[in-house]
Amino acid sequence: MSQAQKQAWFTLIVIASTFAAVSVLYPFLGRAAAGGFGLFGFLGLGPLFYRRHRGQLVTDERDQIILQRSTLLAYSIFWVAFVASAMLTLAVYGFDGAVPVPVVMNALFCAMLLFAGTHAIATLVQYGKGGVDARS
Amino acid sequence: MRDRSAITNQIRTLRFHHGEMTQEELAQRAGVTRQTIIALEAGKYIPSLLLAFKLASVFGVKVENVFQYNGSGEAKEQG
Repeated sequence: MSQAQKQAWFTLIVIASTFAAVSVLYPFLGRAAAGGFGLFGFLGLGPLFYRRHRGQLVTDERDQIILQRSTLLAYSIFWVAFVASAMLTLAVYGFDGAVPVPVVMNALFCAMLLFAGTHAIATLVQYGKGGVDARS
Repeated sequence: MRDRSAITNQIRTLRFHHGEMTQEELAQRAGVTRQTIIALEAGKYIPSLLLAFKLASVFGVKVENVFQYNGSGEAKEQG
């Protein structure tokens, strides 16, 4: 399994664990269970998968092409959702409305989730299919 | 979309003829990961021109001895 695949699985596990934690805590803590979204912070450890061990090759041209395509797809989907949520917020709260803090927080978490999740799934799908071809 | 079946390679055979070189050893010498060698041998990945030349260089043969184009002839040489 490549480092990119490991990071993708790690991302999906963190996302699933976060939702599981929030779901389990909600009956006991109510809205405060949203604090469980803090587990998303573990996604910041993802780049550690690309540390070099004794000069070992971490990624090559095929990995880089796959990651590049995953990033493009994740960015496209994120941007569409981001613009849609901005327009929706405007429609719901109006120009002079006040957006509640939890709405802002959840919107940011959803945006991060959408980007990271799409990136991870796209990466795993491409590796499963054998990967894209180099553009020589 | 590129037709991967149009390009075949002899990497597995060449490894065998070079002292049964392992995929790991070939990967190290060509500067790629073992997963990429596996994908190449399975015909699931078409490498860049640079990697194709590196692989040929590792085996000490010309690039056309490693990769073969079996397409419709769009790339036929002129004259």
